[in-house]
Amino acid sequence: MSRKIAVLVRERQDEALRMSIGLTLMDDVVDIYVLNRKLESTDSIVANLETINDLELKIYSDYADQNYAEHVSVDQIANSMTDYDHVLPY
Amino acid sequence: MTFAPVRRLSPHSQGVQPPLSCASFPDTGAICGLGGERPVFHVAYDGNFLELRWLLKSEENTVKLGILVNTDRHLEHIVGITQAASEKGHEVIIFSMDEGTHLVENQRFTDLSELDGVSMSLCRHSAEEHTIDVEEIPEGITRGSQFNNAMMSHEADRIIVL
Repeated sequence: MSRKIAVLVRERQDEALRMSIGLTLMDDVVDIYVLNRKLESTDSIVANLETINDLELKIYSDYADQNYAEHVSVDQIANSMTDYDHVLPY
Repeated sequence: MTFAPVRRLSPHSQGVQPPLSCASFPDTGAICGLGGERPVFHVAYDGNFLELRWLLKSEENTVKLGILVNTDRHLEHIVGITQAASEKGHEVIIFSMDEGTHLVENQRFTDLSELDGVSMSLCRHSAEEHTIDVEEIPEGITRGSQFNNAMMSHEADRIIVL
């Protein structure tokens, strides 16, 4: 049975995104939440975002000025966490 | 979940009164323990009879606990939680990545791979990024990839991140 996994991206954005991509290898559902910050524009993060886009993973953020993510409120993020089997803060 | 052969008792039969302890007893589907111990039998009640189905020893409430280790700051907690879970018969899956790969340089961490029910792996890419000599890692720890993390997340009942 497929699992639902939420990855909470905080400081170490590059590794969090790399891990998110890897978590799809068992065909589980992986959603990404970028918490209260803008994603940096390093080469590795941009490359990971391209892969995430290819894999059609969903990215959400409570940070308004975010090019890659759907904007959601903190309350919406909090309420959605109960839908997941695992919540992995990074 | 597998059960031992059914034993049917009337609601007031000796042996189904206290010390049974279960908040929802005798609701159908309750899983109860004796005197606060971990669950040992399943209770079903059809209005006339209580049905006790004893959990087989191997089917008692064991869980698969995943531990994602992405920092090197929580060795004491990792060791303590893993030892406690192993002693209680739970399965523990440990995956190390990022800064967490530094812990494979500590024998207290690597020794966990020898405990019953404990499996360990790490992200080889992360280890090399953090200049860990992967050839020095004990054989019991898989030099793996993010696929090992995906397997852990897929199989584990609960995951903690340390």
